[in-house]
Amino acid sequence: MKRAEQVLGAVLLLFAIYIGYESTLIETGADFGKVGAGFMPFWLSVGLGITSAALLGRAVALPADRYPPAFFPDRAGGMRVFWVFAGYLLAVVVMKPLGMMISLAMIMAAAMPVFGSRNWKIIVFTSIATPVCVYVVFGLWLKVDLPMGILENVLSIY
Amino acid sequence: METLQQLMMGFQIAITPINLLLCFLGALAGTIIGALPGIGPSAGLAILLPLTFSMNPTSAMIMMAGLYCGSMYGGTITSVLINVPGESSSVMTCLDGYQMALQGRAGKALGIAAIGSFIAGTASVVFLMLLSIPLVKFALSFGPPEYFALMLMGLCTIAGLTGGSVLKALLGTFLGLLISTPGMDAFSGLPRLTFGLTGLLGGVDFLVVAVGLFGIGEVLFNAEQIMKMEFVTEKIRIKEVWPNRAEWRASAMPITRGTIIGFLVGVLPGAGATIASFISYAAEKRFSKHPEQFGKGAIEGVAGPESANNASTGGAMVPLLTLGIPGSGTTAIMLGALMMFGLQPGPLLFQKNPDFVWGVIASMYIGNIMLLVMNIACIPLFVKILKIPNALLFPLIIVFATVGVYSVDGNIFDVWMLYVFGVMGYFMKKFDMPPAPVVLSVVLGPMIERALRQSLTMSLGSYDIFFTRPISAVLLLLGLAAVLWPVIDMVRQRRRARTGSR
Repeated sequence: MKRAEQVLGAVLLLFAIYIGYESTLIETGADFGKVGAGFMPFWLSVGLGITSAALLGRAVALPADRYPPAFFPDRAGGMRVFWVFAGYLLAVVVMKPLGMMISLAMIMAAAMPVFGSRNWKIIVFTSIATPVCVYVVFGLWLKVDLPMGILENVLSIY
Repeated sequence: METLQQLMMGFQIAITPINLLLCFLGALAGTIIGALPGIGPSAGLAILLPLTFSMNPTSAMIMMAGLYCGSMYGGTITSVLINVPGESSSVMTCLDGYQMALQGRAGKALGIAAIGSFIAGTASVVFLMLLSIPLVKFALSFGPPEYFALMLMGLCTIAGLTGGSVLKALLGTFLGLLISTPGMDAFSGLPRLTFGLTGLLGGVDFLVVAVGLFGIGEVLFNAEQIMKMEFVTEKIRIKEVWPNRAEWRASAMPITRGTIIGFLVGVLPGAGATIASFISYAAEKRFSKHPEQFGKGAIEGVAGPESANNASTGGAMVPLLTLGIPGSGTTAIMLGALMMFGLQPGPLLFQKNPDFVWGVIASMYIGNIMLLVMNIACIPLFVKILKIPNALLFPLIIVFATVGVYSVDGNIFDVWMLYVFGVMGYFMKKFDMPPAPVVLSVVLGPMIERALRQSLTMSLGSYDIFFTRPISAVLLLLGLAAVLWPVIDMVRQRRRARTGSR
């Protein structure tokens, strides 16, 4: 965890430097009441840079026994997080071409086993029923223009 | 007299059938959300917020206030029955509440928690009413420098008092303020920090940040360690819930002290319900004639903290409604929601939209009565709801979060941003960085920048304006003290430990 905190400090410091540089490309001046659009982001990046440098310094200076031993307490837990990350990312990627209904079904089908469901009939049923409920509540009732993708011609909202 | 007239007008608005129904639904949803471990009131509010967009602002806020109060009541149920706090403000209730349940007094623990919560919640709304009017009159004299100093003080206090590492809370504050900067500059109209992404031209919506950090981040974190809930198998009957004379006597002062502590702590930005319940528990232990019974099922250890965390809700509404400054992640979401509805929170809200303000205040009285009845009569029902499997609950949270965020603007870019902030929320949890300062900063960021730039325009670029105006100078000093206090406290504790070891 000590190493992870060092990485966090370094990443945030680099991010602050990048934002600071980007901000200098915009007008930053604060003379005679004329405050530029880059003024706030620049000084915030300075603040972020100082605090992330302090975090990095602390993570280097403090002994390792002051931190929890590992970033992931167990491998299985890390894998579960990875599957939810990956499943959700895939669902977001396909949301536009395949539509939100299919995308939400994918989220349910990917996440339910991760959280402990082993009954495939329940997984299939819930993965179909949830998008249908979403379609009825958000699409038909609240009139939200949901992206329908390949189901555009099958399910109409209006 | 004027206050009473306004309150009567508020009751006329709050008792319309639709507002009563929404208040009930909010209170019910809040109780369930508060009871479910893994979802806090901020996450619940953020996820359910899109459902209120079709309502008028008063009805939406009545529902949100009901949800906020309900979540404080709900956290007790899991604390008492399974020794797992439903949300952070119920941590202290676990200590004695669970012990009471093991001794066969679960009903009494839940009963005194509900009664204490009702008394404290109602009293805090009375304090809110009494404090709001003078504070509004005082705040009307504020100009941009005072507002800038006030908001800065709010951010400093939340960084200093939020618990855990001040450095990480400050990091979160800077990150949140930076997240609020992309988009079209309100003064010059120039795009900034958009990195060529047209989706960023409109800025980053606070809802995306709140739902991502609190909702998706929580779900991802819960995927790592799947929790199994084992309930105390005692059957709870309604007649067992009501405390007897001795229990009343033991609980009366803890409820009174908890109410005062909770309200005062709730008014402070950043402190909130969790710290209120910690202080109340410590106070009760100190005042008790038998402190050795604390942690072994003392009813005072449930009555005090539960009253304190409920009283903090009324306290937290004071800066939100009168100054337009939220003091916690949950009230930050409420503030963002108000702005989405086109209302400008602050002292003028009382003048321009009295029906809204007093409608919400009146609904908080009604909500507390509903919650008392609900939490005494429906405990067995809530226990059943709590048995909803994680395999269904957490995927459903992702689905509702995704659809909710999409439905705000109908933009898939927001779903991408939700994913990014969800991942960020997970890593923040891993690194023990509190999400509340980030959300608060995202909401306050544009307001702080506007106040800063208006102040500098007024002073022709001189920063003296913040130090030569007394209110602004005092607020800035208080903010500085809030950030430095934990550091000074740490140094003092180290010195004490060193002298002790010698």
